[in-house]
Amino acid sequence: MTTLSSNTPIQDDTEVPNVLSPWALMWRKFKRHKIAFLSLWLVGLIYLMALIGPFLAPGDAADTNRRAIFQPPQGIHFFAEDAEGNSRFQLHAKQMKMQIDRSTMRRTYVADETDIIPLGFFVRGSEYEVLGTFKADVHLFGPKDPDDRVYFFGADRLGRDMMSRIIIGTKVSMSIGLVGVAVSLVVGVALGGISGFYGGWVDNLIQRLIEFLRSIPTIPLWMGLAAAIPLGWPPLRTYFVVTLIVSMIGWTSLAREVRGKFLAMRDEDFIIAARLDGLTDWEVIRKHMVPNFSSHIIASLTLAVPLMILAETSLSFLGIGLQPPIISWGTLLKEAQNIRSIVEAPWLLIGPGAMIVAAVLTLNFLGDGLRDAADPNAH
Amino acid sequence: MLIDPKTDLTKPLVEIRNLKTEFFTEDGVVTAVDGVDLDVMANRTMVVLGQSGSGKSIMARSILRIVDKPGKITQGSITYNHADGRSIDLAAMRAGAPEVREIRGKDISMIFQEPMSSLGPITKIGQQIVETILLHRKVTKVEAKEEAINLLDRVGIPRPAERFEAYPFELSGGMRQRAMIAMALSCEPRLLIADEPSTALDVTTQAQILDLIAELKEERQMGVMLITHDMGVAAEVAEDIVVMYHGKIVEKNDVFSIFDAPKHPYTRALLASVPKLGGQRVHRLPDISQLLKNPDNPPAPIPAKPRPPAGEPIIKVRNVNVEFPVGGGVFSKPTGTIQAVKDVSFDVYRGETFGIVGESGSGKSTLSRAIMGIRPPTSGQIEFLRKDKPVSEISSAGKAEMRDVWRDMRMVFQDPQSSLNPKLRVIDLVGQCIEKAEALGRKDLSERVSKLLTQVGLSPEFLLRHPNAFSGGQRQRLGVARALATRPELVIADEAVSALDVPIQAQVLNLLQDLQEEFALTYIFISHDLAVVDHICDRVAVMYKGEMVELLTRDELAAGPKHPYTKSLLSAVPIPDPHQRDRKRVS
Amino acid sequence: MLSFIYRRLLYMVPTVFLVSIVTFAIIQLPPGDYLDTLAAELNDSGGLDAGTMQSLRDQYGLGQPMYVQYFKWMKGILLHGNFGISFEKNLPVNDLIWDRLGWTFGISLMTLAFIWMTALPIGIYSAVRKYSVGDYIATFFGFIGLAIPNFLLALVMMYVAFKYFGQSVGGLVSPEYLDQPWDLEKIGNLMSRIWMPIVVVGTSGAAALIRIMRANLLDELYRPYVVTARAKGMSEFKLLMKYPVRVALNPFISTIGWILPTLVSGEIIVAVVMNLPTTGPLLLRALLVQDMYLAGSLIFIVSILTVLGTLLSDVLLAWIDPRIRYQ
Repeated sequence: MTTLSSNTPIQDDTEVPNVLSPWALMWRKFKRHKIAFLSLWLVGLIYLMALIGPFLAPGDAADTNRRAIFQPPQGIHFFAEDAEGNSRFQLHAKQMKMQIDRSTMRRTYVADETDIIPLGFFVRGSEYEVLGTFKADVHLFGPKDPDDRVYFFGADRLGRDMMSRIIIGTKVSMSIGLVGVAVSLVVGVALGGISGFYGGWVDNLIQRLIEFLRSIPTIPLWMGLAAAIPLGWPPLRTYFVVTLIVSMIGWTSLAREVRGKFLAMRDEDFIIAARLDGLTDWEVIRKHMVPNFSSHIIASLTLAVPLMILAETSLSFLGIGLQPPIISWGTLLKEAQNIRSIVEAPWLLIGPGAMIVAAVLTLNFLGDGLRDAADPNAH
Repeated sequence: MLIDPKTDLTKPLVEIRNLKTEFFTEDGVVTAVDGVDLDVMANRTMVVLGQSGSGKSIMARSILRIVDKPGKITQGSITYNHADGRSIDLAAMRAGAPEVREIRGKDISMIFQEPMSSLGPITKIGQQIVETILLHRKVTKVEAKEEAINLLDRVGIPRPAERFEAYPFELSGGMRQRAMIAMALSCEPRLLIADEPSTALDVTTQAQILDLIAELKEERQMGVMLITHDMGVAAEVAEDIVVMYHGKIVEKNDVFSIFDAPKHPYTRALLASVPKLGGQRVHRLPDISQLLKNPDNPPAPIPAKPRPPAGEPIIKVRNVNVEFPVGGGVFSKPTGTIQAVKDVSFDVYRGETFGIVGESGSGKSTLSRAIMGIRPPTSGQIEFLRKDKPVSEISSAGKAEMRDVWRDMRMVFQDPQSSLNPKLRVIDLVGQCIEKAEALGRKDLSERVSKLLTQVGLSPEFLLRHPNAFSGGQRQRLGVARALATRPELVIADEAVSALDVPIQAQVLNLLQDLQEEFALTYIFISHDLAVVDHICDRVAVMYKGEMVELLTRDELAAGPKHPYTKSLLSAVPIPDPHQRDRKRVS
Repeated sequence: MLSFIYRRLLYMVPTVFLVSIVTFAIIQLPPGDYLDTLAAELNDSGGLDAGTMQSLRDQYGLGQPMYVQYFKWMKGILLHGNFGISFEKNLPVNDLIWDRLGWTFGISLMTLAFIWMTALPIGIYSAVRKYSVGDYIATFFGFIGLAIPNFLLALVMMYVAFKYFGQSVGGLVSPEYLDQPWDLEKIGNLMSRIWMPIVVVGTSGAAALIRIMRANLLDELYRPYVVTARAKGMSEFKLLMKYPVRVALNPFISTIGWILPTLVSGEIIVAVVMNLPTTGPLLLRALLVQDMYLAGSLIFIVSILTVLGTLLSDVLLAWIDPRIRYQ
C-alpha cells in the first residue's frame, strides 16, 4: 500500500450551523409550504369576513321578500344604456320578474333587460351594529338605492338574500370552531398535562375516560345531547351549549397529544437539567415544556377547528343543533335538506356548501403546514 | 463451501476510482465522498477509520449502491471483479439494477451498527436469513431453513433451532448482531462490509463480535471492510487502514505503519488525542487544532502534575439500593422489581476525580442519579458534606433542601443535544440557575454568563444564540458552563464525553481538568470507557450488574485489578496499539 | 394470546356499564318526557285530561325516580333481552331495531372494506412516489375528501344522480322492489344503489387513511432495516411489501378502533339524507319525540357494537404485531 502524501487541506472542525432562532426556522419552513402559506391568508380573510360581515353583505340577511321566493342568482353587468341610448360603464344587475305557471304551479324568473338596478361601492343600506358599539349603514357593495334588492347568490324560500346570509353565517360557523377549540384547549391541556406529568392512577383514570369517550360513536351521542336542548332556549345559550357538545370530540385527541408530549419530555435530559437548576415543577412546565410543544399544539388546534365546524354543520343540518333564526352555514344547509328543493334551487346547496368546503380545506392546509413546520423530522 | 483456492487473491475484489458521492439538499450540495481511490482485496481486513461526517459510511454504501436519497454518485467508478473474471462498474449502473442486486447479499454483504433497527422488527430472525438464502441460491425452503439454523449455530447463538423462531426484540444486542452476521454470511460473500458493527455494543460483547468476524474471515478467506471511528478497534483487527477526513482518504497503509509512523498530520493528531489505557499519565491530551496548525512540531506531552492529597469526604454513600418496579398492567400491580443498584458504599473526597465505570445496565447512571437526588435510593444513605453548610441527607431531603443542594452539586449530561432546551437562548440556558439562586438583573446576569462562556472557551458573542447554532463540542462546553454557573463544589459528569468524536473529546477532557484546578472542583466521572476514566480519574469504582465489584486507585488499576470482572473488562478494551493485539483476553 | 383477549374482554365490562349509564342519562336529559311531547301534539287537536296522563305515566313507569327506571330497563335487557317498548309506535323496541341495526353495520363494514381497498394502495403509492404528480393528486383529493361533510356529499351525489341520470335516489332499493321478497333481481337492484352511501360515508375516512398510511410508511421507508433488506439484494417492490409496508400496517390496523365509530356516525347522518332503512332516521325521530327506550336502546347497542369492533381491532393488531402481544 502506498502512503498518501497529498496535502489535503485541513479545515477547522467548528462548523457553525444556522444562527436563526427556532421560531424563525419554523417560520421559514412554513413559508416554503406554498399552499399552507396561501391558506394562512385565506383563513385570515374568512375570519375577517366573520368580523365585518354586515359591512360586506349587500343586504339584510333577515329581510324577507315575497316577490323573490327561490329567485336564482343575478349576474353583475358592467355596461348599461343611459337615457340617450349610449352605452356607458355602470355596474348593475337586472331586475328579475317572477312568473307563475298556473298549470304546474312552478315559479320561473325572467330577467328584465330594461329594468336595471345600479350597483356601487360603499352604498347606504340596512342598518347594523359595528362590533356592538355603534350603528352604521354603509355596505361595501350593493344596490345604490337602499330600497332595491339584489340576489347575487339567489334567494331562499322566504326570498331572503343567500349571499348576505352566507356572509352573516360565517360569524357563527367560524366562531364555533374557535370557541370549541378554546374549550378543548383548556380541558385537553389541563387533563392531558395532569395525566402526563403526574402519571400513576390519575393518568390511568383520565386515559380510561378518554378511551371510553372515543369508543362511543359521536353522532348518536351528540344527537342525544343536542336533542336535549329545549327549543325555547335563547339563541345565545343554544350556541354555547352546541359549542360545548361539539368540543367534546376535540379535547380527547388534544389531551392524548399533550400527555404524549409530557411523557416523552418528562424524562428528557433538558427537563431534568431544568429541575436541577432549581426550577419548580410549575416553572419547568411553563418555561421548558410548553415552549417545546406549543408549536405542535397550535398545529393540532388548527386541525381541530375544521372538525368542529363540520360537527356544528352536521348537527344544525339535522335540525338538532343551532336553530333558526341563528344563521350559520349548517342552518342554511338545512333549507337544502331534500332533493326537491335542491333541484328547484341548487344555490341553496352550492353557496353554503362551497363556503364550508373552502373554510375546512384552507384550515386543514394551514394546520398541515404548521405541523410540518413544527416537526423538525417531518418528511 | 470456501472460496475456490484457484481464485486469484491478488486481484482486488473492488476497485474504486475517483469516487464522488454528493447529497443534494435544500441548503445546497454536500460532498460526502470526495474523489476516493481504493482497492479492496480478498482475504484482507481493511479498516476505514474516520470521525463522524468523514464520509466513511457513505463511501461503503456507495459500493453497494444503497446510499439514501438525496445522495448520488456524481463521479468515478466502482469496479467489481466477479470470481469468474467478469467485471462490472457498479457506479455506472442504476441503483436497483438486477446486476447490482445480484451482487448485493451474495458477493458483497453488509452488517450495520444498530442490529435492533437494522433487522426487520416484526419478521422472525430465521425468516430473514432464509429469505436471503432463497434470494440468491437455488435451494428448497427446507434446505434453506436447515442452512439458516447451521449459520445461527456457527455465529455462536445457543439453541439455534429455537432462536430461528425469535423476533429481533427478543434477543440481546450481541445476539442480534450475531444473527445479522449469520444473515450476511448466508450466501458466502467474497466481501463483508461491516459498518461500525460493534459501536452500539458493550466492550466485552464488542470483543466477541470482532473476534467472530476475524475468525470467519480466516475461515472463508473473504475480504472484510470494517468501518469504525474507534482507533482501538482499528488497531485490534486491521491489516490495512484507510484514514478518511472530510470525504477524502488522507492516508492508507498497513496497520503497523499507520500506528507506528503516521504520515499525515490528521492521522498523527487523531492518534495523539486518544487517551491510552495504562502508560504514562499525561497532564493534558494534545489538542487537535494545535496539532494541525503546527504539524511538524507537536508539543511534547506534559507529565501529569502530582495530584493534591485527598481532602475530607464530600460525599458519603452507605448501603445504597435502587429498585425499579417492572411489569404490571393498567390495573395490576408491578410483577417484580429490578435491582439496579445493590448495596453500594463509598466515599468521595474533596478535590479528587472519582470515576465510576461499567457496561450498560451496570447501574452506574442510576447510582449517579441517586446521588443527585433525581431518583432517590430505595434504601441507604447518601450524605453531602458541603463547606460552611450542614450535612444534607440526599435520600430524605425535601424539595426546598434539594434545590439548595443542586446549587452546590451540578451535573453534566451525556448528550449535549438533548440536555439543552432547543427553545432557550444561551443566556437563559446557562444563567437560569444563577437567576434562581441569586436575584440578578438582566445586565449582571449577562455579564456573569459572558464570563462563564469565556471560561469554557466560547465567545461571549454567543450569548443570545439558541443551541441549534452550536456544534456538538460547543454544546458540551455550554453544558459545562451551565454546571459551573452556581460555583458548585461537586460536579457529576454522566458519560459527558461519550457522544463526542475523539479530538473533541480530548478538548472537553482538557477543559474539565483546567476548570477543576481553577474552581477547586470535585468530580464524579461516569463512563463506560475505561481509557477515558483512567486518563482523568484518581480513583475508579467498577460496577457490574448493580454491584460495586472493585474500588481502585489509578496505580492499582495500572498494576492489575483483582476482581475477575475488572480483569475481563480491562482485557476486552481495544487498545490503540497493534503491537498489543495478541495479548490474552480474560473472560 | 387467549389471556390477552380475556383481559380485554374484562376491560369491556366497566366500559359497557358506563355506556349504559351515559346513554340513560342522555335520554333523560330533556325536560319532560314522551307524554309531555304527546300531550303537546294532542293539545292542538283536543288534548288529554290529567287523569289519562297519570294512568299512562304509571303504565310506562315514567313517574318513578330515574335510578328505578334505569334498573328496570337494564334488568329487562340483561335477563330477557327486552329493550323496552317504543312509546310512539307502541311496539317492543326489539321488533323495530334489529333490521335497521343490521343495515347500519352492514353498510359500515362494507364502507370499511371500501376505505381499505382505496386507502392502502393509494397511501403506499403516495409515500413511495413522494412529491410525484400522483402524490399531489392523491393529497389534493385527500384534503378535499376531508373537507366535504358527508351529508353534503350525499346531497351533491343525489342531485347529480337525479339531474343527469334521472335516478331517484333515496332508499336502498328502488320503490318498486320495496315490498317484494329478496330475490336475485332485488339484490342486483340493491347493489346498484348501495355503492352510493358507501362511497359517501367512506370518502372522508379514506382520505384520512391515505394520509395516515402515507405518513406511517414515510416514517418506515428510511429505516435501517430497509437498507439491510436492500443490501441483501431484494427487489424494491418485494422489500417494500415485506418490510416497511408490513410495519406501517400496524398503526393502520389500529385505526379500525376509531374509524368504526366515525363510520357508524357518518352512516347515521347520511341515512337521514338518503332516507335509508337504517338506524339514522329512526334515532333522529325517536330523539325528537323523546321516545326514550327506543332512542336509548339504539345509542346503547350502537355504542356496544362499536366497543366490540374496537376490541376486534386490538386483537387483530396483537395477532399481527408480535411486539404488542408480548407486552
